[in-house]
Amino acid sequence: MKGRSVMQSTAFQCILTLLILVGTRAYGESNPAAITVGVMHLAHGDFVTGELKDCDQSDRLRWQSPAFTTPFEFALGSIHSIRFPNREGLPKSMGDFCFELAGGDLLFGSLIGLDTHEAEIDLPPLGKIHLLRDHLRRLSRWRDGDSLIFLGPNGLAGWDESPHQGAWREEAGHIVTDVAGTSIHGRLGIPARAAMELEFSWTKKPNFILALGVDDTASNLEDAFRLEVWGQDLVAVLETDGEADLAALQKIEVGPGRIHLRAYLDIEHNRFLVFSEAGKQLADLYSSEKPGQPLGSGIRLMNQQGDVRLEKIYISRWNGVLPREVQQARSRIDRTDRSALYGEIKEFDSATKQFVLAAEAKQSRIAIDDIETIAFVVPDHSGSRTLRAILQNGARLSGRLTKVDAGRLFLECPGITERVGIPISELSALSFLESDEPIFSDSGRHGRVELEGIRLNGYLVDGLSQDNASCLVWQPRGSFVSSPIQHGVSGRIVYREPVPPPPVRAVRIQQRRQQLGIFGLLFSPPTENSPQMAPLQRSLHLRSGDTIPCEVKQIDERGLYFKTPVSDTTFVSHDRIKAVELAPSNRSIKINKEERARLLTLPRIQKDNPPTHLIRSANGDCLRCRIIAMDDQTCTAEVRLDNKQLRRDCIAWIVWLHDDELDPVKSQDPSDQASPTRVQAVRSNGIRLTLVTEQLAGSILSGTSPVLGACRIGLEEVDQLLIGGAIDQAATELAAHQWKLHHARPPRFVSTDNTDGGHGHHIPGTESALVGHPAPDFQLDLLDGGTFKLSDCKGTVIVLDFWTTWCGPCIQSMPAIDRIVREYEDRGVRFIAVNLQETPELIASTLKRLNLETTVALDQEGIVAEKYGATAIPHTVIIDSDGTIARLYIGGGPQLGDHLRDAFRDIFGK
Amino acid sequence: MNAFVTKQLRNGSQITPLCNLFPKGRRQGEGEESEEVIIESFLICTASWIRLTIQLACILFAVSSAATGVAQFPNARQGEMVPRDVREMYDRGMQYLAKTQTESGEWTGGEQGPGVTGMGLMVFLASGEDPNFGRYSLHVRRALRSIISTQDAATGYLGNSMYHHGFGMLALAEAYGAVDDRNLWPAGEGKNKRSIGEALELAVRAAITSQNKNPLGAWRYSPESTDADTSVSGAVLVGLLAARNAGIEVPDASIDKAISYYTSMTSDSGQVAYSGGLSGFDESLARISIASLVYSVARRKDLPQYKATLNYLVQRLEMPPQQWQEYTYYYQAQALFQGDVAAWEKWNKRLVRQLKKSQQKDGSFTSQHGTNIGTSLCLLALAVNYRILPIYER
Repeated sequence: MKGRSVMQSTAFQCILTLLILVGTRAYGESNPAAITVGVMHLAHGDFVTGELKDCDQSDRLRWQSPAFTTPFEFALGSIHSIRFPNREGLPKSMGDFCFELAGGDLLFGSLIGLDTHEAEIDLPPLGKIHLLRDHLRRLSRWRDGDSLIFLGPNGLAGWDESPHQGAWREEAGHIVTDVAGTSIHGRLGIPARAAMELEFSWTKKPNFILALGVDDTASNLEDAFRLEVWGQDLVAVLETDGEADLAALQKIEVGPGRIHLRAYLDIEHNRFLVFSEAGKQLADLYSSEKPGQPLGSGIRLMNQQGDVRLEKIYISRWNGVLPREVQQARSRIDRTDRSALYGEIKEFDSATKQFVLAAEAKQSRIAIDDIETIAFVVPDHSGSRTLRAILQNGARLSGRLTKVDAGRLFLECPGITERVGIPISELSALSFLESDEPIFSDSGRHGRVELEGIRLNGYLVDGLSQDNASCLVWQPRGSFVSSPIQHGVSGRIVYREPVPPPPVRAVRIQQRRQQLGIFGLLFSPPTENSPQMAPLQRSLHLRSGDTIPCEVKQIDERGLYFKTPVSDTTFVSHDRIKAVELAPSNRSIKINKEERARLLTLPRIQKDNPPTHLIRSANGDCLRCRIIAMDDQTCTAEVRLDNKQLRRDCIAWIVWLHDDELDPVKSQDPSDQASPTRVQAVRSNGIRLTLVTEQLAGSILSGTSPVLGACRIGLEEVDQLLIGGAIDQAATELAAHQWKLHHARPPRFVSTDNTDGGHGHHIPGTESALVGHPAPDFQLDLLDGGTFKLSDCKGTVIVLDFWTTWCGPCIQSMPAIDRIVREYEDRGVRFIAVNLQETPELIASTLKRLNLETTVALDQEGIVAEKYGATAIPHTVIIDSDGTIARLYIGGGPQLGDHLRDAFRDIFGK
Repeated sequence: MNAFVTKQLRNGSQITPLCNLFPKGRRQGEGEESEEVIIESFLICTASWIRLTIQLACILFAVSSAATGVAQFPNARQGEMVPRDVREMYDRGMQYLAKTQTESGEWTGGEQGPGVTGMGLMVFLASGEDPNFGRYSLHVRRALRSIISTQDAATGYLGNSMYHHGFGMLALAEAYGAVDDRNLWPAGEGKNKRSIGEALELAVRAAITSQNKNPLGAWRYSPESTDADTSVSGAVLVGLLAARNAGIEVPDASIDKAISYYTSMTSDSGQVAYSGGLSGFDESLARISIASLVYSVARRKDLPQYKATLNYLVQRLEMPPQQWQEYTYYYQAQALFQGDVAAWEKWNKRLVRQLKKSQQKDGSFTSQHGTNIGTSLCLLALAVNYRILPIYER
């Protein structure tokens, strides 16, 4: 019970976010407010995301998971609870009255009528109901919950566990633990003056601390208003630095028990009062010390030993009025003036809005506005209930399920005349009260399917792949029916958990390396003194994660030729291969992290021509190269553009290094969405095989392998079946797939971004020695007539671009400069294109071709270019309004536009 | 001009240009635009072209053997061992250039002019397709007409800058002797209807005139420039060397002056400065390759600067260009091929892999200089595999 609940609670927290996303996208598009997707927690600890579907049978719920094509039908006895995401903010329950029912249920609404037999109530989300009088325990003025701060606990949502997650669980909206030394904190917004109603229960003997008015640090419990179990007593404690006050509230006996208290806090005046449910004052604690800073507005419940269940916590603003002691054995009316009237409530006169009270042969009428609470003496009704519904507004209602129809869940509730139809969109949780799980006859190998938001124990039944359904048909435990997994789903079916690899002892071979040199060592046969070899494993590792036992015959420019006992196929192309194991390698020789990182770092010089393979010798050395060909004797590999002949019998394994591993494409094509389901069978001996599945019949899964063609897999031999995207994810975690090249980090001077590894901030265009110096003055004739003199332009930001018509990069960058300068024209930026030594006719025709109206200055002698160090063009200079060179860019290029904008932002301050 | 009827080989002997070996009956009627007819007769002509090529190769072999005792076997220039990847890439690239060439023979849509046209022209010439009757003969003629049309009749200057002049001159030199220019122009009087030889000779004069005005003995963007850089100078000097190899008279003093400029710009390490030493010796594989190439083609492998530049390149076969990638490939291919064939073979493997990845679906290559130049430069870097262009001759 404990274990399963821990898992339920963890699972819920993990998938809550996902659930909201899924729900909004897949199910709530037409009405985002009406989220109907929830998580069903099963009695044996499984969970499954989905939504309720119509069902006219009272012994089951039809639950449609987005990962399956058809709904499951779970027996009520198999279900523990269903949680739906709560709406943002605290639940707001509307109504004149809060109705407390005999079975512990709670409703909010308006009283329409009341007589000696029944009450007629209007409940906003549910409609009108008739409630038998002997099921109505209390009726309190609610006033749309205007003084309500919190009503809960509503399960674990909004509560933080510490020190470890999973110690607390939720049952029927309550929060429960039997783990010693754990606590839970809720930020409930306790006001400076608060009235609280608290209800706890336990099954053995409790030993807990409840701290009121604390923050989320566990260190300030001693300063809080506390309820604590001290041996046989429950006590209220108020401590300050110099004073302590406490009062025993009640005895705690061994065995099941409960406590129902009202607490009043005046944080500003350090006063703490506790009353029994009947209004008897149990404690009035006070400290004369001036309180320090308020500790917080939350509560913390710490379980020191035993078990504890928080059933109810109701926090409202306290108006300073204290309760009075009352007689609980008699029906009574508590009036707003704090007086109590005892007698029999005869009726509610809806016309006059008055209650009629009969006492001592006398009837009196009390106006509704004068009433605070009406308490009825009623028998205890356990009734026949299969589930309890907790609504988004905090109401609770329990009863027998009759059906789910048209978006409503229908219950027959003890004491309520009508069948109550609760809109599914109003549900916060369903808690199932029957624990008898039916026994199903089953067949097939038992396993566990794990998909996004789903964990279901069960087994696969026969199936055939169809357009909208895979051949993986899952029969979960607790469901009357099975359902096929959808195409495009990612996850796994686990039959046996994989065994972690044994640790490897590292051995150094430095001495031998020194004797033979790198090449000598790499391609010399293993010596007799070599450390013991691992068992022979010749296999082919594909990029998909497939691991196929094989003997490699040959490698050529097309791919690899092999022979495998599992298929007649003999060829696989390079783009599919990740590694091959050719001979036993000395697995005890381990490459440490630094060596490995160095081995996989691609120098900048090889950026355009990266090695395509990494060879590891039987002796543990590694060589990066490009394999040109390999036969049964020799491997021809290109090493730094030189061809080398290697002895094949010295090669232990070869890893393929692919370009796309070096620069992975960020957006992956979600090809699984439309294509038939891929499944990778994983066996305990490490063999993995991917199939596009077609059929499952009699424990034989058949389909087509992209490499080996038609294949069949017996489920009995399989540890796991990976499904869809999980195959690719699992592949990335395999040992061979860790061998991927990465680019060497560029040095600062060639880095194109603005980071240099935390050693400073590089600003493009500031490298030139001219930057920061006054711009040399000059005067040039303009193409369109007139002259341009730089010193006349003080107060204006000038962009000079030295160019010629024959300079391709100039022609590419000039329109971009012109466009960007125009964006800043109104801020006083001017662009002067300084042409070098060309004729006006040629310049004019080029401008016309480029459709530019740029101002061109004619540097016929190249003198200005020399002043600005323009030895290569395009040469672009930004001169700020003070006449100082702010930036200087050489070579144009696609980044120039961004650099100019950055420079203008710097110059203009934003 | 009769001066161009025979060519002077570099070893001093003379040879009749290829165009004069065509049978008389194949010549098109004077004054007619004859390209359509040529294409129709492609199948017949191809056999003849092969035969004639062999004849020419035999003559070349005989002449040069007699003179120096050293010659290349015909198959060394026929690209028989050209890898399939190269052939496929080259064909796709040529199809792109053929498709994007304008009616008037240029490539537009970015940098344009005789230099760009010259690059495209050399791609066709380097492919091994018959420039007179092959499938791209129309494009060859259009490109030649375009280059010659832009030439200043008085100065011989080819277009927008000395870059264009250099590449345009190089293309004319490579076409000279290979393209039959008797039917290059439509019939009738017209402006600038020079033959390839006339245009080339004029261009050579323009380059030498510009050089003579330049105190550094080299070139920069404008023919009137008084400073120089090793990039523009490379374009012009390689053009001059190609013209000299094609039989045009280029004064030794001119070549020597330009080579001196390069030696003055080459550091002991092999790095080559850009312009007047102003920008220092940064690591430009393009400039190092240019210098190494001009030393090779000028037959100055004796220079320590040559050895330094070649060594620099050979030691860095894996190094990717920092910028101007395609421009670098273009020169690096030739420099390595001229300097160290084994090193070129290694480097070429990398180039082929690299270009195979970067070629676009339409056969083009993008570059910082635009797609047309990028495509031409990449294909010309690959064209060393064919070894057909005379400038690639070792």
